[in-house]
Amino acid sequence: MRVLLVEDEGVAAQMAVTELRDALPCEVTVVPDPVEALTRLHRERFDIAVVDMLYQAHSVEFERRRRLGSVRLTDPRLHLSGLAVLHAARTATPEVRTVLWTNGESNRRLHMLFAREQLGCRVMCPKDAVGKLVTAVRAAVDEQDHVDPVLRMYFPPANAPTLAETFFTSSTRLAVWRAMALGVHEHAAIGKIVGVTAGTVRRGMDAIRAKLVAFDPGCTEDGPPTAEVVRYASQNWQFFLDDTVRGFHR
Amino acid sequence: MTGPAALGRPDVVLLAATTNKLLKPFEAVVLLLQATNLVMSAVNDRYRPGAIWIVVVLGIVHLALAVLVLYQRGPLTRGHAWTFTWIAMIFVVQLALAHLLAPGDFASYGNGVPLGNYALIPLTVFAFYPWGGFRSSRQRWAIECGLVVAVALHPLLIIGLLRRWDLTTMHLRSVALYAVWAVVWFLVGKGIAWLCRIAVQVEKEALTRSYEAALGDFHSHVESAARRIDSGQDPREVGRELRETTYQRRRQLLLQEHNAGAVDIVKNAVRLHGDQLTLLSSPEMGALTIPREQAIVLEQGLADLLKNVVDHGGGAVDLKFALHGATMVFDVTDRGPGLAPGTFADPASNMQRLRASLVALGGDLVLREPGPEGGAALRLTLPLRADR
Repeated sequence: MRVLLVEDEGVAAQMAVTELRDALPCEVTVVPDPVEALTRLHRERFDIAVVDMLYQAHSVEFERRRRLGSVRLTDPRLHLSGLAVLHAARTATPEVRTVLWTNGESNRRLHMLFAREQLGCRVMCPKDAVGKLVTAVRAAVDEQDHVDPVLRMYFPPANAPTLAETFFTSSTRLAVWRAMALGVHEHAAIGKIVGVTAGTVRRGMDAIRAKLVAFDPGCTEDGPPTAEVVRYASQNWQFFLDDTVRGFHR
Repeated sequence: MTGPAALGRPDVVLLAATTNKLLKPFEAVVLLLQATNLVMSAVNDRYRPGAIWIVVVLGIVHLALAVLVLYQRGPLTRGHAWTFTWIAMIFVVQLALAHLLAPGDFASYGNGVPLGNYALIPLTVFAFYPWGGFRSSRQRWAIECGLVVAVALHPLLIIGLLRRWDLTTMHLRSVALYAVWAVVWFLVGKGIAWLCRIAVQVEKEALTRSYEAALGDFHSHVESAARRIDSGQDPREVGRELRETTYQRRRQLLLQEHNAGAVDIVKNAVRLHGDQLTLLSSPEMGALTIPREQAIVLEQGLADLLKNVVDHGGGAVDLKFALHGATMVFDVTDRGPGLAPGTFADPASNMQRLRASLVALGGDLVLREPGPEGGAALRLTLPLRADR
């Protein structure tokens, strides 16, 4: 069995390799970067892809450019995450089984929902628990659902709006979210990026916040809507500027 | 360092959030002061017969608006269109009331302009209103200068309309005094804006320091653990201590957030106990975030309840979550010998201390009937935000 492990932290990668090799008859290829992982997935055949969600070197460089204002929504590539690898593994070679390997920190929250809701990822395993990766890989090989109880907490409660219902109903509103994730906060500047007037952006903010509050009732309904929406977009810029998310929803 | 400070820019998100928080109460205060100014004008200035009631009614309307914007959003926090409407209203009201004054009374005594503060007080707030945002300072300065000039020269226009531009020295002196006050009120607003920026900078520096302190402290714990293992101490024992330290540091960082992820709070409380705690069911909370004030109490509450499960409840817990409206409901059920109602109700117990902090935020902690599998069953409720 050939396993592709996409992980940028050396210690975590080494522990995973040891764990897998000790328990399973497998050959593990470690790749620290999602770009290289995409290339390897197109060139080579793997049975399992174990994928981390965010990659520090890539995220730090993208964040630097974002803060300098040099990122454009029309750039050929936005922020690259494990979602790209999960998607490539599913589309390039459908027989590759995928395991999302993450601790689910707060800036990965929406990525995990996207992986489940839009990419159909059914095997999720936390990084910090020894021995659980082997169980997850076995479940993936057997094509069974397997989500660790701790990561299952990220699944939305019944009746909660989905990501699609909240963020992907309108391409204009999604573009507004993305513009704010770029660090643009004024209605006129957002409108310029999106291609609408400042008034359209301002008038749409109440509706955007209403959807956000339905999705995350912890967000406040008090005060001006733009401030709350900007705060949420800034906290979750990795998701709104994710290259794979953009590929799915323009 | 790639942060905004390194680029020489203010943290616009933090600055916008702080300014918006300040604007809301200021809107109500300004309307209240305008109401007071109208009523004082009705008492002190000479009006045409019957006009005084119009001024009093206007004052009462402003008072009602002040109360209204305390509970609803006011013009400034509704966007530029409402803000410009308010500015237009200020000019119109001043112009209309000047026509209701006794003939020849407007600005004719050389000591300022009747109802002058009606326009000057809002200037203070307009001085730190983010015209055109925090990044286009040129546009903001153009609007602000235009506003100050318009407010300062407005009485001149009124006098011109009332007296067909027959201006006396006293009129010019009144307008000059008024213009000086316009600049002073505007500078007061700029002073508040300056304080706002200092507050943002201090908050940011404090946050950075707390991150550095937490990470530095954590690093020394890791170094110390490595040395202790090298010197022959039981790695499992050292690991357990390190887990406790990690939990504490994560907790500190997590609760710095404006809104903390509900899952992060529960996950952190569960992780503290490592293999000693088994989750029998996962509370599905999705992307819910919890405001800091509630997050602090919830985090402490869950930590206490899960510690009880580990110490007395057999180490396995059924943790369920539901959102009833805007109230979080956590059901915590263990497989231990159960909790006697008397023990739960003991005022000196951890349970009652936790209950008191939950009740203070509109929540509660109740002991429930255990299910068929026995054990202690507790329900923790906490609204996502306190009622106003």
